[in-house]
Amino acid sequence: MEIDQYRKRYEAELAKAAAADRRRPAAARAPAAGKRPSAAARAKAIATTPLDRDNLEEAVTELLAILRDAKEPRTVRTAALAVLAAGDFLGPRFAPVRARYKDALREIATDDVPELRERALELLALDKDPYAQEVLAEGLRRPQKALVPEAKAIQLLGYDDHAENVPLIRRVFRRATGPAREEALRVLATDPQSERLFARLLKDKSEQRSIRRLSASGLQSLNPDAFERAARRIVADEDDDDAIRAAAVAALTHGREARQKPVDPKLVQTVQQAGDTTRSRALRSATRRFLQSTEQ
Amino acid sequence: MHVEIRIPGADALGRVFLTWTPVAATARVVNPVGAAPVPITLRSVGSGGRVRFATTRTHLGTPTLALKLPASGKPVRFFVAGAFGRPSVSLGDVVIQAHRTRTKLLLGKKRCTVRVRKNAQSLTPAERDRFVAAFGTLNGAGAGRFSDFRDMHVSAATAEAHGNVGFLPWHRAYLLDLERELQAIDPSVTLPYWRFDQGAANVFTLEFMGVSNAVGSVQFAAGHPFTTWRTDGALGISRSPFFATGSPPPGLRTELQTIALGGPAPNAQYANFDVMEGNPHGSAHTSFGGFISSIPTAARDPLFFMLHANVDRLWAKWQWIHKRTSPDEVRAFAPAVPNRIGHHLPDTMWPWNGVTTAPRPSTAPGGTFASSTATTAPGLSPIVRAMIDFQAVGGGPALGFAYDDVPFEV
Repeated sequence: MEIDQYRKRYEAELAKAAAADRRRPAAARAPAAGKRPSAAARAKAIATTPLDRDNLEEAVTELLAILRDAKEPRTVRTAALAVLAAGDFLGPRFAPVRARYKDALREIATDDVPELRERALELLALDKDPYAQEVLAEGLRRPQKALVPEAKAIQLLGYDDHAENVPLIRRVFRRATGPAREEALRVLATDPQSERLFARLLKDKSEQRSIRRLSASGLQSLNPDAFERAARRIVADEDDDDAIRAAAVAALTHGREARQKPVDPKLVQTVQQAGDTTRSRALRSATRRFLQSTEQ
Repeated sequence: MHVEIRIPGADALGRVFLTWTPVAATARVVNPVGAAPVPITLRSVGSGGRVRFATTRTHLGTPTLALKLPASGKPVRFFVAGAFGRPSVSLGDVVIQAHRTRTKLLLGKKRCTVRVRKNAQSLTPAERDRFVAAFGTLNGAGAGRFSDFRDMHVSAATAEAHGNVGFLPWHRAYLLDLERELQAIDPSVTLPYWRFDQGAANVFTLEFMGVSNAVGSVQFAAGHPFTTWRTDGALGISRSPFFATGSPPPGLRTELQTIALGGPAPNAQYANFDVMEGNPHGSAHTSFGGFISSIPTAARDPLFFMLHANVDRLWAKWQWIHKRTSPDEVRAFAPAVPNRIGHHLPDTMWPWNGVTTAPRPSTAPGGTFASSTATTAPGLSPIVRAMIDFQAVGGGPALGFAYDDVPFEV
């Protein structure tokens, strides 16, 4: 490709786009006096009006007012929250307004609109906000008080790697079904007391595939040697689910590399045989990757 | 008689990696027959990439180059660079051949790789699989070297890397450090970019960056290297797109709108361009829920690095189109506002500088910057200035990365 021509073409594209932007009418974020644009138009105007440093304080004040206003349409409030959350990525530039933003998130965490509630709680939980953690835990303890679905609450509590909520998650796991069980296992991968649980679930062929896959990773995290012993048995077992065997091989690959363990010829043979005898593309691909890793 | 082609920067196995930046190479005759100079023609062949040649350091290289090599064996210098638009698709897929000009007799050859960052949407399945395999290894089920990179992008480090003019240089260094670690695992790998202003249906698949379930936990195909992904002890990746992943997220500035931020030529300024930190950068992050939507957790998601590769590509493209590659050009960078160490051209960057006294964070994870056999830049403790002219348009060593759509142009 000729660079000079490439440059000319790109300059022409830039000029064309700039001309089109100049022709586009400015959209209003707030309703103009006497004339109310549609909610969709206002949401779009909010979403496409960035928080740049020149207008930051003024724009944040306006957006916080929209976010807090329960009479505003849901789409408009959601757009305001999205722009504020993006503004948080400005780091120190957002600092003068961050406290007001967090206060608004705590307020919205109990809003009537479920999407806003969930998003606000997530943004707070990502920041390990104690208020968010407390209301999420309370929702797990007393489901009638839950602000978000159980699986989501477990996931959000898991954003904090400190162990305060682990006993609660263990209890929730026992009663949970579906996605909440999976989310609980993700969090319990940091809990030494859950090692036996993971070993049992991994071994249990009647368990759901997703649960066994998570259990493989969980056991590996808590006791790499116990995982390796279990994984060898699973990989060698032609009657087991090929997806689980593939997950076990993938985990063995990364576990071996991370621990810089020497190559075990017996394990290599087992993995090789699994790859040679299966019709599963996933298992073949995982065994190929394992074998390549042993050659490096 | 044969011709030996030497390209500096080969790795321990003799493998050579090129980008679009011309590299000074040599060709010489070994075991000559007679005393007359040997006329040769250089060209490149192969299944994937291509290179171009020149006798000066220029972007105007040609597909072939005629040289006369002295029979004394004295090396003759030439320049070689990846042919823009023709990157490699696999390791060593370019062969530089030296033919005797008149007889076309093959006298020598050298294998190399034109290694540049590509659009994640257009990777071949093999390129995609090598990338995720290397990244999975770097994570090492939570026990790998990736944990250092995760620890570099945390709350305590926010002011090192965000909300100031050093945002773009710091992240350029961060990505390159990570990319070099990936290349230590698989040298064919580069960091692909997620072009967030276009649909990326090939990216959000079970085989690549995963598909989010209803709760926002990312699912992968069986055996995918990210099925063992772990950060901060917890399993998996939390990510919920607020858009249809076959389309771009709404509300983000397009590439052309972003490039226009700096103002029109010839007065485009970095001080105006870097408002892109808000939109599209921040807006791209928050087009998802989950790890990637908040600074302290964003780097727990491998997609973060592909998002930032696109942010860096946009800067690279702005630098190229407005010729803002020289750190001595005042409009290529801007004063730090507010004034803070780490955001001026001569400042060293945390954590590679190892400084842990205030106002720097109290720990410096990861040690010094990863080195590369392909280049000496930017050194073990890079300064902000070293991140500006990444393709070494102004001379000196390049940083050793490039984008498939941002050419080298002097």
